[in-house]
Amino acid sequence: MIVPPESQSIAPRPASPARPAPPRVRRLPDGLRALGAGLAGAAVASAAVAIGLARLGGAYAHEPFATDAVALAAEDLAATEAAERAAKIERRLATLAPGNEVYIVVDSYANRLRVYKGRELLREAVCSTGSGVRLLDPRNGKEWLFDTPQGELKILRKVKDPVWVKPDWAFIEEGYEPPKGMRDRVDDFSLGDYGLYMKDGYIIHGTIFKTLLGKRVTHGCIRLGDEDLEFAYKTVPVGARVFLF
Amino acid sequence: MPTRRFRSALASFFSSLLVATGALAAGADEVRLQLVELEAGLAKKPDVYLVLDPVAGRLTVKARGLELSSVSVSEIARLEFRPMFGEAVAPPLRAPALWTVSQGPGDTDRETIAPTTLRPYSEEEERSEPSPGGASAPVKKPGEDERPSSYRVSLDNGWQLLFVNESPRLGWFRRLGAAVRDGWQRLRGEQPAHPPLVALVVAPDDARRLHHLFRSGRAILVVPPPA
Repeated sequence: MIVPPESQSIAPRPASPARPAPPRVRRLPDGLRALGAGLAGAAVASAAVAIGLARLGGAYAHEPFATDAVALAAEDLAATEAAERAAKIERRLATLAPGNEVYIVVDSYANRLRVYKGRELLREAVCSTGSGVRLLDPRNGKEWLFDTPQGELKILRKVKDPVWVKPDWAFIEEGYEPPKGMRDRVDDFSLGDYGLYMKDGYIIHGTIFKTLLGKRVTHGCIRLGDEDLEFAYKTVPVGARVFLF
Repeated sequence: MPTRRFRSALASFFSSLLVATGALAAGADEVRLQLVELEAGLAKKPDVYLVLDPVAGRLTVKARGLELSSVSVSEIARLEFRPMFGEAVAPPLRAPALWTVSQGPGDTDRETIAPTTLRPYSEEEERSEPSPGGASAPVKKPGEDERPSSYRVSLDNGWQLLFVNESPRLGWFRRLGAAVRDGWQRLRGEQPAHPPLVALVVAPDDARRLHHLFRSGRAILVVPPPA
């Protein structure tokens, strides 16, 4: 017997969830699409130009520091001979540095003057050193550099109550023509009570401008306060070495 | 990271020199001999000289073999200009060696006083207007006298020393930007100069401390690592 389909018992189906509606594709306006395409094209073109320029140019690259060994001279030394010779030169090198003598070290960055005896520091003093300024003479273009020299100098003589005979630059930087007569150049108070003279007119001397101690303001000389200058005058002998840096 | 880079720099420094010295059969004693011969030649003269020890990370100021001062170098690197897609061509760096300063920053950074006219000297006027210039150059205001903490020093071997306070940052994008700028300059017919650099990373105050020491003719002795 055929049961008509209408009479079949059908179990109720569970309610199926509602399917999400397919997303609706929004189409950009033609103008925006053209703009985007233009920008993308411009970006590609810019990148191509940048790469082209980069290929034409270059840039610094960071490399670890490395050096090549120096090729040895043709002379082929035995290892022991090289060691002996090196030791000999090292001994000679050690004799160049001050031994147990009194000497001065001037640090022209920190404006400090130190008096040593051998390795012992006897005194540290605030000083003033060269300004580094360049002065030009408007009359003839002559030039002076107001630097404290660097390297080793020696104390050539020591003078109590030193007198300064002012050179041309001392007038020119003040806007004056240098005077003809010697009398106008003599200054017996600016250098303080003592002067320790080195070569080329560089002097360790005193100052009437105490507030400028510790600054780079001089024309190359080294200025000290009164007590420090007296100590240096009494402690440092003529011939003593002065190391300036 | 600077420390890691510094370590790798040291390792590279050691290995390259070991290989090179081995190849040349240059033993430790010969290298030491070369070094002391160079320093003895410098110490014979009264001038100040500098000793750069890359392994110890120190730059020392010396005269007559006496150590006057020293500063710590936290990193040392070679910065070589190279095409973005190619190899660098830089003059060789050797050690032990003497480098000589051909132009220092102190030679060019000077202040200049140039009066336009001079008036006749008057003793009365001079006495009535005492100035610190009586025995002093013009006084600068606080901070005005500050020396730069980053600068370059030209050497006679074609290299330049570059003093910086931080490890140079040369990432790929930064290099690309620099290469594009350089390429543009070349396209316009300019020939920008890019000398190879030895970058020394030092503290700002230490860089200022050294600034005035780099004058033309100053010798720098470069120490090799122990073989």
